[in-house]
Amino acid sequence: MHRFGTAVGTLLALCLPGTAVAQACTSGGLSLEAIAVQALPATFGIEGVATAPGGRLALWSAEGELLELDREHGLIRHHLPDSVRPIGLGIVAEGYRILDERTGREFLLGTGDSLRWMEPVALQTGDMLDRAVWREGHWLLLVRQAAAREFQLRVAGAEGSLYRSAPAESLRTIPRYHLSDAAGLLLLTRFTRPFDVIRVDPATGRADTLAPLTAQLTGIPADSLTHWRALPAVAIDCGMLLTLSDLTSDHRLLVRYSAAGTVDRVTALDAPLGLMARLPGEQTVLAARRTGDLELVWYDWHWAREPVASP
Amino acid sequence: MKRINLLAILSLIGLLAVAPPATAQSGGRGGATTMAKTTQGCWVCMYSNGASYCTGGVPGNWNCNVTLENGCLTSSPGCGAGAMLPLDPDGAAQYVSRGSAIGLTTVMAEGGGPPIRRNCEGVVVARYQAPENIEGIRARTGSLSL
Repeated sequence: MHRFGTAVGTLLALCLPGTAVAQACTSGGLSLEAIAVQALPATFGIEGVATAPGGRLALWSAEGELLELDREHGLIRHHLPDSVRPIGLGIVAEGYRILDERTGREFLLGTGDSLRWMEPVALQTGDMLDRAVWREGHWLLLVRQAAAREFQLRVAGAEGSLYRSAPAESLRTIPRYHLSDAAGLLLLTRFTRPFDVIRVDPATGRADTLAPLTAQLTGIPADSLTHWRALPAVAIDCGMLLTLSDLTSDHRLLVRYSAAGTVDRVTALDAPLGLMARLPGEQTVLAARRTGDLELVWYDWHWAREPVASP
Repeated sequence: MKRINLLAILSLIGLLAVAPPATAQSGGRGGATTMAKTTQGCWVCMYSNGASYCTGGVPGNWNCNVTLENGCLTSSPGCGAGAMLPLDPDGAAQYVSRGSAIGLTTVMAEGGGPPIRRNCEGVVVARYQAPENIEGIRARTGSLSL
């Protein structure tokens, strides 16, 4: 393994925020203000992101490269062994737990880039693992199950599924979802139209689907909608944010849901930007943006106050 | 749309040299296999018995580059099992090739604008952003009202 071990990239501005106090919910608009930007290495493409309290975050690429970033050390670049392709990554006290896509084996990347192999995660015959998410000491597995032709959300090593989609007509049409956190609940966001966002309670398995975007998508021709993709829904105080991207252009739709799951507002944007994740415990969301090279942008959010009528 | 897919041609050259015959398309891990209806134009990174290679004619995929070392390299994060659904967290999928033994870039101008590279489905995989474009993007995204 090669480790650069030094800060790389151009730190355009990095003033990461501290822990903030939750803001009161209002029915007004939401404002996102860019507070910091971090250019990524020119050869790096984001495959996934993991966040942790304290502003820690890690990105990995399809080629098995890992970037870690925190306030203390800036950006540090790691190269994983060529044979490893992460399908999921978790930030833990000892380092990084990484699940390998090809073998299903887990390993721990520790201090000094030590690599300790662990047991493989148990998969079932016909499982196609789309993504693994480390959460509260367990791997959550996002799986397309070929035999059942279902998408399944499972806890590794546990019986049963937290969520199962309806059976698809074929393997190709098994729906695929992102997974993100939302105040103790899990959010599943369907990659493709109709871009369903499903809230799953991991304790009970209860699931509900946020309001559909049918009306908001009517202006997009059906043959163009096949080129639109959703990024993971990002939970903020009092709601959720969803980025829909046209892969053929810079057109974006930023959807804001209320906490109740209704669509509050849809904003069109003409820029290659996508909201990726919330930093735990902070009033900050993380976005990827392409301005020549790829860069990370930290946005603080603020709720606009409702105008007060004069007596 | 006028399109010069030099990358695909180069991939074909590499394919003849290093790749096994392209017949069935592996759909991912777990022993599952899916057959995809083939059309011309798309080249995708596939895996078989631990080896990767490029195969052509698969709709919905991104192009990949053949290399002598690894069989093939992805030219997009959507290669392999995820190839049917190209995704890029910047939302743009404007992926700049990470280089390979065949590291040439094919670009074409659309309507006299800056060069853009698309895959066989029209998805932008790389393009040139002029300084004024970049400034415009920064200006439009510095503050967002949602």
